[in-house]
Amino acid sequence: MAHPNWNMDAVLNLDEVFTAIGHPRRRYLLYTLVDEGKEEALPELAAKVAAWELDKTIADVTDDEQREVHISLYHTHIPKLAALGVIEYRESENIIVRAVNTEQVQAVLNNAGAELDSRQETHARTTDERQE
Amino acid sequence: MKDKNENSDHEASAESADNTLEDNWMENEPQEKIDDNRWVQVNQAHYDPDTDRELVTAVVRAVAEAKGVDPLDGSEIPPLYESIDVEILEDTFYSTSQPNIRDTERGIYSFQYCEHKVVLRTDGWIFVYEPR
Repeated sequence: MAHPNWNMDAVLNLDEVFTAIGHPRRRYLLYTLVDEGKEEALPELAAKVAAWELDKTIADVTDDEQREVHISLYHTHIPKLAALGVIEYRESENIIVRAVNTEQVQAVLNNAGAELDSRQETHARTTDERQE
Repeated sequence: MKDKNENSDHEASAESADNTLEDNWMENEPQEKIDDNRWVQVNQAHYDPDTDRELVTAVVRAVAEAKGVDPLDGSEIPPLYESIDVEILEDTFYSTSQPNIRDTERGIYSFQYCEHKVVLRTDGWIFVYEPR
């Protein structure tokens, strides 16, 4: 039952949309891609997610906290969103970018508009202040 | 060949008769005997849904450690999602809203992931096996 026949070209049905937005880490990824043309690199993205979840600054996120998130993004959340055509993962560059179904899912997210999520969105859309 | 005495799986670890696994898990080397002899246990790890974060990370780390590879090296250890959606198991086995599921009945779930067999047990133990 894990993944039925996702159709990358079709509009997603509601079950698929809810799967896409059904985890805070996946919503975070979607919020980072609100801005057209934006690309996010996985290591930095993982640090941002950890900072959001642990309510600390990115600079205070430990390597282990960052890696824990990075592993979960790489091993489950990104492939799940990619299978739905909601994001595209470019392995050679280790980045995620918008994909064919990003807009549809983000439209649903906008209407879901919980207060907590709008703060998550603001956090997700800020740029990593830690330049490496 | 099925082991007919399925409930006695941890008797193998010596005198620790009735279930003191919870208390002693650090001292004991837990085992989960699986019902054929094609596999040998090579690693185990404990996942605590109350304090650890995502199950996916715990599973990937246990397998990567068994293989001696970096959990983020996709050429050695492909995304777990390609084998199984562990998010479903996380909800089924380790739901923090129904913690008694973990205590009343011991269940196991096994699957194969990059030439290894992985067994998840409701008490949080993760076992990794490689082919003999």
